[in-house]
Amino acid sequence: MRKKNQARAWVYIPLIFFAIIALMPLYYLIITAFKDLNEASTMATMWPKSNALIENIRFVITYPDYKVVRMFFNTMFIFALKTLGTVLTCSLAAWGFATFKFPGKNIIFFALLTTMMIPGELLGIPIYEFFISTGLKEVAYLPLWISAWFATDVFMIFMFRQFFQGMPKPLIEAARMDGYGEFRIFFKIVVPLNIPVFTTVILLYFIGTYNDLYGPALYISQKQNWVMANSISIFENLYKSGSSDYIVPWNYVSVASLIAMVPVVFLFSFMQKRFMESVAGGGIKQ
Amino acid sequence: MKSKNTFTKKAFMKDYRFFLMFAGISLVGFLLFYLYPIIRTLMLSFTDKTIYSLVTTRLGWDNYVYALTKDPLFFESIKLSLIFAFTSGIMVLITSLVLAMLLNQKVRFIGVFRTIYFLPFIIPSFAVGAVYKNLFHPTSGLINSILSFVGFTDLPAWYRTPDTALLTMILISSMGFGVKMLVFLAALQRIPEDYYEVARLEGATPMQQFKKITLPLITPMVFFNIILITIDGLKAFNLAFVMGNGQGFPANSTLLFPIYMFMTAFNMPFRLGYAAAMAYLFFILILVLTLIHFLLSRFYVEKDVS
Repeated sequence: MRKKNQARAWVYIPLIFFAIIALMPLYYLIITAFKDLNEASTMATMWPKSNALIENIRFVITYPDYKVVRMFFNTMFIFALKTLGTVLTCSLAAWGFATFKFPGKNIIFFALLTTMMIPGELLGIPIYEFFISTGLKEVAYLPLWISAWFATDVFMIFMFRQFFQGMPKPLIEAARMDGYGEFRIFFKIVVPLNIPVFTTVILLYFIGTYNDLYGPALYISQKQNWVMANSISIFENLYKSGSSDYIVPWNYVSVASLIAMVPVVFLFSFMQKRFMESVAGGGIKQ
Repeated sequence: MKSKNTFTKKAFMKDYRFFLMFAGISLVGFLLFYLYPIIRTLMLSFTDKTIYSLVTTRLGWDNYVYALTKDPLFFESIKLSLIFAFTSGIMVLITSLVLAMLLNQKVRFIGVFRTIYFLPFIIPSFAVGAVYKNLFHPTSGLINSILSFVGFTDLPAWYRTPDTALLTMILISSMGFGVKMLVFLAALQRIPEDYYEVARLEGATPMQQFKKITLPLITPMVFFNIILITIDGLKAFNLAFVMGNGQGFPANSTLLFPIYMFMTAFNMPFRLGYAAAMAYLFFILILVLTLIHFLLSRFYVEKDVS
């Protein structure tokens, strides 16, 4: 028994070692937010010598280009339209695949699944070309969410279908007997019984939209349209000059990074369990 | 017999109509956002189309020939992407498996460690690059100050010189174990404890237990994670975009293929035709790699599991 406890105590050494590595970025982010400009951009102190947190926050939130509330709501605008489109069209399509029977259905489904293998590089150019030539590139972030309304996220169709297939058949049959229409069955029975998968999709989409840098880099050029993903580079390039050796004000960058983390921390602390499950869920379902 | 046939046909027709009402939009989406771009990209790849050009000429195979014979950056970016995907992939695979096994230990405070290990994941990925740039900064970063504290004198300039920029990026992306770690952890937790009890009674060492029980039982997850990691590595954009200032800084040493493609297609002078040809060459490469991986997986994925 004693030997076993000893063996277990050893586990803490690697556990703590990796914990330090995992915590270091966050720790450095926080202490850098306290440093003044001179210390942050020239010295690597492990504990801040200066205490300029308030001034740093003031500088960041009053910086003219940094309209954080606007950027946040711009991000949420894209998130809302993208998520609504995907949740609606993908779940409907998945129910279509899960419940109706006719020859050739599996071939269609397989054709859809193969699109998951196609790299984004192959698809992006014509879509970009289309939005440039029609002048719709920066109209209401159209390029960033319109495809979501055509059930193009095949992985989500797949995920919804996996869950829907587990629905008890007699329940659906009984509803049909009672004269429920197909859409009424879907919205009154299927959706309420599968709330967990819907919340999972919404969570994944929040993280996905919030973190996306590719879409904004490609389709957003005007300052008033900036999203949260644009908020860090404002300060990183604050003193950018021609030469590569310009000063980076890490204190402002850190404050901006911490502000960008707020919504994610908020979400994470409220839904930690659900969050972990949903993130791991994609793998387990395979 | 005949009447039954017409009956099922009628039922199929009804189901088919309902199917179209529910899933029809996904077929439209498939045509608009997959089939059309694939064909259009192929057509573009044979032209010198730029976004603002009024006349485009057909070039035949010129773009492909140019990419394969005259464009050193094309090969360089593919090479960098492969090195990046492969090395960071192996690092992520190992760290996520090791961490998952650590977290699977039944010791006190394990819940606290689980939360801590997942913390890097809550830093938005567009901020991750900036955070690590700060940590790895040659003069004002924590890493070098620790190294000099420990006694190193010849401190690396990390992402500021071409020699170590890619290495820095690989080290940083090795921290991206969050999701894969959870996938492994979920798999480990489904292995019945009895297996290990029996093994211990028979005198198996921890190493033997790992080799004979743990590893065979999680190979499907290894397969799944390798696919995830390879795809992540080959399409890595955010980190390379932030680390390399959007252009493979310094001296193209972080110019991963997605960045090079982005620069070619979506920056001046918007060479859509040439970028399209490169995209097709890249697609063929991914296809071949995936095929090889599927063939290899026959040898290591245990079939009787799950």
